Amino acid sequence: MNKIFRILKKFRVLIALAIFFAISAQFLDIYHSLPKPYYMYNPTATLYAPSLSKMLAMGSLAAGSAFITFTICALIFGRIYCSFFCPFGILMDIIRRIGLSPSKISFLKKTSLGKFCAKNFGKYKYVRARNFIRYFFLGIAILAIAFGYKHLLGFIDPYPLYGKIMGCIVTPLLAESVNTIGLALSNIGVYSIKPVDGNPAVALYAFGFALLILAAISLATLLRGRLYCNTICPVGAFLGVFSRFSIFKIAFDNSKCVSCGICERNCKAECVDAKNKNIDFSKCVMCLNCAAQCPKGAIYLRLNPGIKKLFSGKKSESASAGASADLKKSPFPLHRENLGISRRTLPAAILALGGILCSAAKKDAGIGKGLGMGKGKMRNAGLGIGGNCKIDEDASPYFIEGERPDKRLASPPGSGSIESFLNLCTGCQICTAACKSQILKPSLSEWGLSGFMQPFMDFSQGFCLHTCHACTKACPTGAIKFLTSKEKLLVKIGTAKFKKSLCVVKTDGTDCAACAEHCPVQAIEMIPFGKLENSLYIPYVHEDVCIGCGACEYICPVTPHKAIVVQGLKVHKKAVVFNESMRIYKPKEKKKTTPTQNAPAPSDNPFPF
Amino acid sequence: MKRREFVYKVALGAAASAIPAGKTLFADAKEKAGLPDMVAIHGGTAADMFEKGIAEMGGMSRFVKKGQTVVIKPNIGWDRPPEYGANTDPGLVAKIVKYCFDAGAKEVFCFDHTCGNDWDNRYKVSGIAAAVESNGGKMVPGNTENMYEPQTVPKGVSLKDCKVHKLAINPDVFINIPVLKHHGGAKITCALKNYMGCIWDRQWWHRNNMPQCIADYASYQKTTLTIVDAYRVMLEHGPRGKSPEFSPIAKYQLISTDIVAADVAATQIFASVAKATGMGVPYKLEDIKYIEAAEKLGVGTTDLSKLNVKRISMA
Repeated sequence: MNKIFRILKKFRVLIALAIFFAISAQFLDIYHSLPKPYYMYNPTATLYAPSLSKMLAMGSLAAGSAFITFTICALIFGRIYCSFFCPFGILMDIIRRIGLSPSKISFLKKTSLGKFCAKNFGKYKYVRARNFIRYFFLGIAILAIAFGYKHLLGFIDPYPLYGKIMGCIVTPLLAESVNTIGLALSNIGVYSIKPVDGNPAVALYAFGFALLILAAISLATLLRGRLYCNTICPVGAFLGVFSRFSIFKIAFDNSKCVSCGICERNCKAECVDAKNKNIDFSKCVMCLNCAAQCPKGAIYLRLNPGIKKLFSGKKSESASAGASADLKKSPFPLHRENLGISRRTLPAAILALGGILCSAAKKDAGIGKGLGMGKGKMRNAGLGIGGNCKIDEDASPYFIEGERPDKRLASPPGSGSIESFLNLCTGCQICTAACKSQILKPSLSEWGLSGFMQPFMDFSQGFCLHTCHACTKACPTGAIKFLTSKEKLLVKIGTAKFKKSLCVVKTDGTDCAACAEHCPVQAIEMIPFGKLENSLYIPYVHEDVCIGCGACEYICPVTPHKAIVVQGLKVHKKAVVFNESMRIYKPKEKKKTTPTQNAPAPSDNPFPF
Repeated sequence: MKRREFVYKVALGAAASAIPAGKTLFADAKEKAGLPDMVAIHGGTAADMFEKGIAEMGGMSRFVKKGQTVVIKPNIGWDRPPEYGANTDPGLVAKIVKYCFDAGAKEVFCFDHTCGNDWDNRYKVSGIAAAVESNGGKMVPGNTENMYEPQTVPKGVSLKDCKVHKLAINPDVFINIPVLKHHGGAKITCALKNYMGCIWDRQWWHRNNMPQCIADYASYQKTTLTIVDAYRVMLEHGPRGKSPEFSPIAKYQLISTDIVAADVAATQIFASVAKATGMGVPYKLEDIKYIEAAEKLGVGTTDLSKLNVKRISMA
């Protein structure tokens, strides 16, 4: 028996590692070279909460297939999702392994580090389920999904937490170290390591916040195992509701068990009560460590006695004394008593929830506003900019303090509208890792305080590449919906706003046209400026044609306020394709000829000099 | 005009023009060891014109000595395939790399500071990465600031110092391979303006009298040879290009030791192609401000008659 479980456990570790690396590959893909099928079968889309979120956002059952599958899985095998598929859970298991390794590696064993690790880490004991905390966070998650404040999930759901660690620590560190090594090698004439495109660095607050998550989860894992999974994690709490009634369950074989307690010490979910031979299935993540470690082979897998009872209609005789978590008092699986919630816990949890939601729900009014962050009054904004700035009615309300007031934040193409983006994005950072020009960056208060860690488009680092649609392929929650690269060409996320009084052509009287040369859609036309003999040209923006990609803003040489900035749109539009008839400036002497492929060569001497 | 008729006329014209040109060449030859300062070629593919032209220039060994490291700087600014004429012709670049190695070059490096992100893709889409690498050269990235080192520009008027790509600093041999095309800001971009891909902070140039900065930088940059690719000439919607139809095949090439003269000849080619096709604007020399500014700094001459120019028609 014991041997089978050892093999099963190894099997679990293999699958978990494969899935962990499949999902992490997108965060480690600093050269954006993953093959195409990778994105067609986006592994992050198979995760529990993102898949539910996408199902609700797109209204398609197919998008939620992972959610449905894993729920059914929980009814059959228990919370195998938590051990096999959840990247955050697997990350915790990896951290646990690393933390325990000094006490296991032979040359470290005798050192004080090895002794310290052996003494303090990985020694678990049974703890009763903290149901109040669990269902409180589950309640937040359910209400957040129901009322469209999914950004709250970003701080409790496992995948976004994992994503923040990967996207804000691992990806930038990897990219920066590749760049450093590449530079060092280039000094000795080796150019085989390519530098990463764009600026991979993240802001200190994002790095620090992710580091905080990593530190907290490392500490919790080393001391208390899957503590997070059984207190905060809403997925764990939700699956735990089903796993109580799963068809297959592990159980104690009383004839073999000698109550040595090895199973309890090795249970990272802290769900095995060796003294009473009891297992809390709402907490068990089906890691099979207890069964694999049991020296007597006293733990085995069996059919749920409750199910047997259901089918045979008889009282189950075979059920061994310890195996509990059968249908207890109420016949309804979701009944309060079955969930282990006391009469007092539930109202208290609901009250606390209400409080949190009320404070979060005021998002558009802006928590950030009260603190003078994000969108507030236009204090200081645009000081020193001559003339007034035109702000369209359909412009995004989010701007950055101290920048031009008509520069407004845009949401990434595919998100449809700013509202939908902010409601659906959990800040998992996978788009920031996928962004080829590295302009999607985690925000501090750009989206208001409630939008902390949701990515924004930072045009100071680069611009949204016209033919790239990487973020629309990567997003698992439906915050950025898929666009083909062809569809994306005409998605208008904002409008370039040109301010003549700031342009170098006017202020310095010199040529520039950097914006026009970078515009991918010919939305900027250079028209004559001033006296004709100066032959100066100044930009003119065809606003219908502009898609708001930020190329002009990025390249505009004027400091500190750019002469041309992107004003994001509340709701995305479709851009108009430029055609010659739109031209403002039509040189008179120009002949009407159709462009030809071959230039007619001068007949006699081909050389004009 | 039929094709055959056209070929005849061009050949006749070329023959006619070759006679007086040959005479002046002979006169200059005594002073200048017989080798031309500039060769202008018309009528073949970019690679074929280069083969002909470099032979007239005295072969690649005149510029590349055994064991030297060669740095080539084509224009790879945009994510456009060759038919747009937005980047240097890959066939030409491939030939140049091959000839450099044939002349005994130790290594050939190729780079450009592309316009915006996605540099790797631009190296690929332009066809230049394949052209260089298949001939044994190396593509070197130019997208990270740490590849650039601060340098002073002693003769600079507007540009006193700037960060220059490592490869462009004191190379053994530096070959500038611009493509001739329209430019929304500078009107025409060719040899001198191609050097904006050697430096890091282009925006500074844009806000500090760009034409002067272009000229200033040219006074700093060592240039062994300038090879102007005017096989396709983008006449409108430059420098990025909207569609290949705005870049007619004009079949010109210039190989010059004088970068300013190359830009002067290129401007005239641009004007003549613009007139012939009815597209674009036939700019005059004085419209392109950086050319004169560069002459003032002693980078080269705008007076082609001072140079030994050889004209070859391949048609």
